[in-house]
Amino acid sequence: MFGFLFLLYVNAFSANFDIFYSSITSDIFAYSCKLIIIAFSSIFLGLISAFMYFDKYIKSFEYVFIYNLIVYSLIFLMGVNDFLGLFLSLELQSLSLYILAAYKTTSAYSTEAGIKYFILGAIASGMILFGISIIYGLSGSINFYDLEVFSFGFSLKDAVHPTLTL
Amino acid sequence: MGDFYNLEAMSHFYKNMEFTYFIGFLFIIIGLFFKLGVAPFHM
Repeated sequence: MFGFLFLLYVNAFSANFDIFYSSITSDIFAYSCKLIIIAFSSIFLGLISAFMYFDKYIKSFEYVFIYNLIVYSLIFLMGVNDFLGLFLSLELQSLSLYILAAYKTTSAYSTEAGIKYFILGAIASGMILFGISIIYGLSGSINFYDLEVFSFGFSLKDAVHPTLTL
Repeated sequence: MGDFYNLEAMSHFYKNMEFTYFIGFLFIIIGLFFKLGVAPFHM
């Protein structure tokens, strides 16, 4: 598996792109983070499967499906470059985690944990959206490159990838 | 960037733009802290 990951890592040098008006980008760092997420989530899924073998209440295929949704949202989070994508990927991750927290329906603790996590996560989502709305109202943009220009007067993208400048 | 809004006119609403900008990022950071740090520990 690590040899396969090494081949993917070599491929990362051709994985630079900048699409949807710089909403989604990729470079060597984002690609490496995605590979690390895939490797460690695969290892962790193996550990979960070993645990599910002993616990008959959470032994079902939907668990793995929801777990894969979390991994996909993390991979999407690595490539995202504006607040909209950041919020969407965080919400996809959170909604999947709410389900997994309340997954063991025979346990009162699990249901209580799911409800508590949902309420606190909803409050946190409101705070994040309020902050994003303030920044959008001030700067007129939610793109991270534009916010760099708004904050510092220049963008690091212009120094690293001059040809990608819109 | 910034062509949609007249920042000079908006300064009537935001007397101190830097402070409001800081508050916006502060809300985002507190929200991320709640969502990824505090809320899972309350499970």
